[in-house]
Amino acid sequence: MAVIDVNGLTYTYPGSLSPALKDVSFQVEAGQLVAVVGANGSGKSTLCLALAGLIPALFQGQLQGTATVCGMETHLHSPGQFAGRVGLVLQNPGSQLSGMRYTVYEEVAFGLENLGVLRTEMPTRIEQALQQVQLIELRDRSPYTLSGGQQQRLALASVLALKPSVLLLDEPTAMLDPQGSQEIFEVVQRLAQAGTTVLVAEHQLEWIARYADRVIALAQGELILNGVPGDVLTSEHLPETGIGWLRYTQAAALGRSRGMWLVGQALPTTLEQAAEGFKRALSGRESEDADSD
Amino acid sequence: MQIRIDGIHYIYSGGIKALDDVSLTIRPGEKVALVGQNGSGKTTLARHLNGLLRPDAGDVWIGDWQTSEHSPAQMARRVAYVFQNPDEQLFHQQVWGEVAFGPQNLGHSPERVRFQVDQALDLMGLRGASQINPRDLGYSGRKRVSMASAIAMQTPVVVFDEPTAGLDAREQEQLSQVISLLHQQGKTVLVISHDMNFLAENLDRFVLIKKGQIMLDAPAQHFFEQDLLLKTSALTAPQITRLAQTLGHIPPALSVGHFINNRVSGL
Repeated sequence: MAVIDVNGLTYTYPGSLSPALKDVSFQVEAGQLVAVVGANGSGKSTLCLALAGLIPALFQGQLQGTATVCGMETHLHSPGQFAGRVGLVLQNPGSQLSGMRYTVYEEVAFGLENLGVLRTEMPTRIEQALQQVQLIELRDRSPYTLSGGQQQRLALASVLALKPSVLLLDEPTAMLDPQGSQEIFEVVQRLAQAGTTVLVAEHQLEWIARYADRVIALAQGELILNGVPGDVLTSEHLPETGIGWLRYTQAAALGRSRGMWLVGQALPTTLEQAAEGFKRALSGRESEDADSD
Repeated sequence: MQIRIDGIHYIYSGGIKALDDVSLTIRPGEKVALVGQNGSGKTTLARHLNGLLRPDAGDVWIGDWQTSEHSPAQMARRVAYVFQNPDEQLFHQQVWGEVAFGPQNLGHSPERVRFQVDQALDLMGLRGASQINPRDLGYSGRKRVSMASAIAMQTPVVVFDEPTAGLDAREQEQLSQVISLLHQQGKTVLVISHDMNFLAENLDRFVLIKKGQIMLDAPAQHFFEQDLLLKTSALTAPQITRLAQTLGHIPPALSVGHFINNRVSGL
């Protein structure tokens, strides 16, 4: 059974004339890592809020269709019923910090305290979460003395400690250095392999190509593409919506028009595929040259 | 306008050493990328340029002004700073008023303020949003308002802290055009970012900071050849540069256009 089941979901914010999500339908099975791509304003963050049970409960507005997460229809349950089962990491870590705790360690404890997790269980959970995001050495620092990227990791650790079965991440790597981003995706992939269902809104397509099982593309609130990364990330519809292509894909497409990429060869989404494709096209040209000699 | 940083040190209260004997000279009109892993001291260094932070030791000069002798309000005439988090700098009820706040405080005439504000809003694609409350815009919209506010100041130095974070491809293209325009106007542009694709395509000189010290200061091409140093600094070269390196291109390309042209010319 799908852990996330979205059926004809249309949602309009209060006071807005046009819907932020229009007739969106898709399913996600347990343990899948699904990336959501889309230009800003395409509905990615709204979708995350809807799946976390915060829309419509906290935002009001008009909702049609259904979103069912962990067997619970979002419009029939309170946000509190989703807490602990569904973890949401917001785009701006500043919006997520409690503002009520003096240290990184206490900040991670905050969510656990609110869920009533046993005190004896807390230290292990907190330390494990801080280790996963490489923040254990900063455990005694104030959250407000951390850099933007470190705050982003702290927001993720606070959610990881809750051990949710569904993890929703809204641009979790926006402020991270490349190594930090890779570490986050490795953590997320490990969680998915262990059964956590992950939905991640992300602009950095290189991570998606490498780690996602599936990609959903949104444009102006509509789901326009849903498939494996190799298909969605090379779709000709992607650049039209403001998402763009990876540089590997761009180079191959431009190369194809100049005879540097074989016409029948699929466009690449990884470094390895791109290097292999350019080498193959070059060796093809060299053997043609040799034949003509 | 020249930026000269002379042996500065900075320690945050609590004893965290953020800058350790940093010296750097940036010539007028240069486009400089400041890179390094999270917590390396990039933002701390940049905040010394507009006097938001003052060094514990050493000096920072913007042209003939020493930051320690001028207030941040005075420094705002020379250095515009776009914060990483737009919410740190937005407070007005309307986009237009938000962008006008800086030029108005510089004492410009209403006509000049209007001209500078409208020009900045056009550049950031915000003309249609001028009467909206910035808080009603999404993250990237608020980010573009913060950029427009900095551009409207028409300062000789503009600092962008993580400008591409949260921007989609189309908005990044718009930012490229803004940087190019500022450069054409002779302004000095400093960009802090982790987005190596964007930096390689838009900036000329790369400064790597690690644990509060400058580890490398080089033109883009040379910078991305330092594999070991990049790796130990948690950085990776741009996608197209890695592809060119994998294929043995010397020097490796920095953009898709370079990559294809190099192959056409048989490099």
